[in-house]
Amino acid sequence: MTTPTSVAQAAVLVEEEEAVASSGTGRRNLIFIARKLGLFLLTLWAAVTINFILPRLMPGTPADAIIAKLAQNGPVSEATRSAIEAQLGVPGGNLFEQYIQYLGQVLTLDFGVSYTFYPLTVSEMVSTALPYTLVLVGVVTIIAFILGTLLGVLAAWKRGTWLDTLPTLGGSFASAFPYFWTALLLLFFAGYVWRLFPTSGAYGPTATPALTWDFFVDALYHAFLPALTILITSLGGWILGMRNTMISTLGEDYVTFAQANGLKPRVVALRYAARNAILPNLTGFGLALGGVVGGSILVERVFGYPGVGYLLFNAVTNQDYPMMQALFLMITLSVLVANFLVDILYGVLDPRTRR
Amino acid sequence: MSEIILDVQNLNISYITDGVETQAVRDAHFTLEQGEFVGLVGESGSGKSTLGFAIAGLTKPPAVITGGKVLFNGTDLTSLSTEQLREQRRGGVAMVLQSGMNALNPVRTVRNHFRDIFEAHGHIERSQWDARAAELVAKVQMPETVLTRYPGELSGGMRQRVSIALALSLEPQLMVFDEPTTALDVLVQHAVMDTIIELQKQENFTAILISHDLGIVLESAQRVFVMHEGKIVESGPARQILDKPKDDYTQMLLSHYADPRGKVVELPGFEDRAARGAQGKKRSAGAAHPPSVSERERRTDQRSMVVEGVSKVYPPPRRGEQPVTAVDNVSFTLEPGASLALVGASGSGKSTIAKLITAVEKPTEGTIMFGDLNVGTLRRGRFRELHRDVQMVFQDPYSALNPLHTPGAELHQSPG
Amino acid sequence: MTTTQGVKQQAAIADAVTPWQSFVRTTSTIWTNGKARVGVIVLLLFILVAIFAPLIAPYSPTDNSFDRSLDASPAHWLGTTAAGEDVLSQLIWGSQISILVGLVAGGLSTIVAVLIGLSWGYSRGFGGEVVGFIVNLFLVIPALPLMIVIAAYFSGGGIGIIIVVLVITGWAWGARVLRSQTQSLRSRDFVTAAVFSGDRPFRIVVREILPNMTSLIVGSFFGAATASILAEAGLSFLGLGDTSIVSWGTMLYWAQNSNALLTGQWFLLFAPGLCIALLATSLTLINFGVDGISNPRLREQKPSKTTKAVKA
Repeated sequence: MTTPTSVAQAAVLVEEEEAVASSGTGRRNLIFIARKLGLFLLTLWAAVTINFILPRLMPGTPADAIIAKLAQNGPVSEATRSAIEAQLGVPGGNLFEQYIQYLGQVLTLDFGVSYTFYPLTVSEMVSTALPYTLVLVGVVTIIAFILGTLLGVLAAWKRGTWLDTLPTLGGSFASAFPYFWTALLLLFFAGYVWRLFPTSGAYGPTATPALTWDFFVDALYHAFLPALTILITSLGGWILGMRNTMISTLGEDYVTFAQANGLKPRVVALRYAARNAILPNLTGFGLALGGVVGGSILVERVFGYPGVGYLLFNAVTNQDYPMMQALFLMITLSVLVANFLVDILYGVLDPRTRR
Repeated sequence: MSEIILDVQNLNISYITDGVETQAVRDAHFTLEQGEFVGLVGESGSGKSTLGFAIAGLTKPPAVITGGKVLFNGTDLTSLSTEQLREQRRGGVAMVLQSGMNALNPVRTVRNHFRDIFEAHGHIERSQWDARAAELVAKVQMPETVLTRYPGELSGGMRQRVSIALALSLEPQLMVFDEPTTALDVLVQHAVMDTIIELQKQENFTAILISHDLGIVLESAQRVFVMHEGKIVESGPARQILDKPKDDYTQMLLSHYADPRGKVVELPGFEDRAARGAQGKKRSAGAAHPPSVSERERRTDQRSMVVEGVSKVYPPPRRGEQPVTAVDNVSFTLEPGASLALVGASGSGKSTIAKLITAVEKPTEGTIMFGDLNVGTLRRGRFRELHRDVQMVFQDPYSALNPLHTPGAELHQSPG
Repeated sequence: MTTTQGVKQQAAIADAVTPWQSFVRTTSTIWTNGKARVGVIVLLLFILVAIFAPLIAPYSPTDNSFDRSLDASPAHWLGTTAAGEDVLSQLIWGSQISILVGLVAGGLSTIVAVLIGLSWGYSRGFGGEVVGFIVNLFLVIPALPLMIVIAAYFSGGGIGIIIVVLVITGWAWGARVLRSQTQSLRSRDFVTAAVFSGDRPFRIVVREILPNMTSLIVGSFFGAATASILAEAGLSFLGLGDTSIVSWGTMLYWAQNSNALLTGQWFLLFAPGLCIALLATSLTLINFGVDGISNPRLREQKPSKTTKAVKA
């Protein structure tokens, strides 16, 4: 180190040295993860509680109210009646006791017996349907996010050219179509008219689910149109979001400084601009996921794709309350888990959060 | 006689927004010799930064070069393509931006910043990268450990030094410093300036220092250019500018800088700026009837502000950190008619004291008495009473006024 | 500190404007933005159709005396439904519901968002953390499943319940956005100056902070309205809305239920869906213009005649 040439220099340098010397990141990482985990569990508990409260908001005791609703469609069998009462607790029981009982049921994944598919339990039905939705939504969302982000970077970098207008406008336009409408259009044209793809189901009528290559291909074939629908509708949001943050970031001093130091344009765009611009979009990702999941419900309905969305739709139509509750919880849980993972990812990518 | 390395000829730069063109630089022309240290001085909006950016080849929309040339070692920078510009940066013109606060990529370590530059230009062997980076940060008086840090972990002064080291890694012939110390503390300002001056002597690059702070420029530069509304109105050796300024504008600038109690030279068009502003406000506040100055002077209850043993401790900003003691056992008395200046580095607590005296914050310990009014325990209902006589003028004029309210509206609200 | 460009922008903000000037500037920023202009025109068209529905529609939307599942003809430009109602009339009348739900649910969501967002952003202390948790809760829980569950429990409540459900799930986003802006405004000196003149917090929020957030609130409203329209359509499509009223969503519900695809009446599906999409798009387009107000960097620059192109 060259020796300081003034008193001012010396004083300041001493302070700075001390600042640089302090560090310690290992423990902070753990605290960060623990904090996110805590939030995740707390939110999960809140969702479970909401699920508990909702049916009890209906007038009268929940069991009676539900039985009354079912009675509108026809006589209610004894089996159904006892199933409902077992599910929701004996009327007149202490609310707090019911709550504890309910929590216990949730933790053991005991969601009772389905009304429509009696005597199958809800857990059985949900666990069959869940993988289809997870794969469909999970894979497509990741693809849409990556593709949308890249297009957004491109759009911002080449602002004003067709590389900007086309993805931005096209994406916005496509995402304004309700999920179910795009689904219907695709179903009609690609499914019925041109007969390119199957019009319902997750696999062909003669196939049986198994971990074989053939089944995998069949499943892919059936999942293609639903996946395409979700992709088309959600892509616009990612493109626009990334484009906007990118444009803001491109005005930052560190981008100008990077250019001043002669870094190659691609390096500046990716390592300096995009790398920072993506961060706000990551926070948005977790939230937007809820929207994609909602959309997937509509898509599954249109295509008759037997995931949790389709199951939920059926449950609503048949007023199968145990099923509805369980599905709502499962869907929420999936979204929360995804959010948690994204939060961790964000912590990895942004060193500022760990300070 | 050193060779001429920069030749700016009739340079014109404008800002074009929404179809409206505003000229920022008019007909700038001058030459620089190798090894010179020149200063470019002027108020905000004089065009000095715009000129600096053009010299560094960084002019971006909405700024547009509308005419002239920037000849660097004979090559016209304004006619180069983006790629050519990029390549010539190594060994060419480097720029250090306004107070490196934001000049570093928040998600990359300092070491990676250096690696990015070396990778882009290829003038250092890969195996030598880290060693060279350590050398460079040493030149700006930073320890090697700074390489592992993220910019967010460094103070403003440190970030500025790192910026300088990064620019230096290009081995430039010409370095442009744009307001390198403006946002820094007084102490840190001097430390950084000393570093810059030392560096220039050691590495022997040509330097342009852009600043609105005449003092800093005069202390470090050999030659000075004065800019006003886009034109270079005067240029010459620093000494000559100080002793025998030729242009009126320069004289005015100097008089404001030199001695606050000395003779102030007013220029036609300038002298009323402050007065006109106040008059404008007075006119719209005519409807309200603020007590005139003479009325206030007639008030017999002239009170002293007595501050005794005052401390202010803030709770920790984040979990697990220490509480922050902003003010520690301060006492003073302010007699009526006296003026007291509070001077200190940022973070020393002077703004906090101002907040305590004006009852924006309450002291954790100690008493503040304004006459018989206990400012420390003042309830909101009695604020107006205090603020009739105690007011604050804020540091940042842009944020002190609600952007949507006219000054008249603001004054109408005041307690009068 | 601010970037060099930033200083110039701040200077521009410092020029004081009257509320009228502010309104004019807002409208012209929106109008000059090409995309936003299209959005405004389309929105106005839909609103006009909704207002004048009784005059424009050839028949009553619930009149099912016609032959069923007819194709397009001069008497029925878009044919008839499986129940014998005129599709075009349904389409025209249906606009009322969609626009009503969009505006009302969007407006209520925005009001709740403003109330919660501003007070949350202004206050300091632990209460803020609790509110933050609740807001996050409503943001993270997937909206449509929640809506479905609530609507299922309270089905039979008609449009009113739908609107309530939409507001419950829709306020959180706006609240968060408004809160963060309120926070950054809160720490500005002019707010401190107001505190200091003895103003009560409510007055400060309304006089000093609120006017500086109009473009954000407007953008929030358009976003909420868009989301409400799409959500109502989705709920109706699933059969959770009031199936006895005629909205674009219920039209699609009945179309799907009557297997319009198989009968080849694809336009039964096409028409209402297109209307929903166009209405939602128009609001989104307007928001493009509103974005430009709150973030000047996003404003589209008018192309200008320059003598020398500058390379970035």
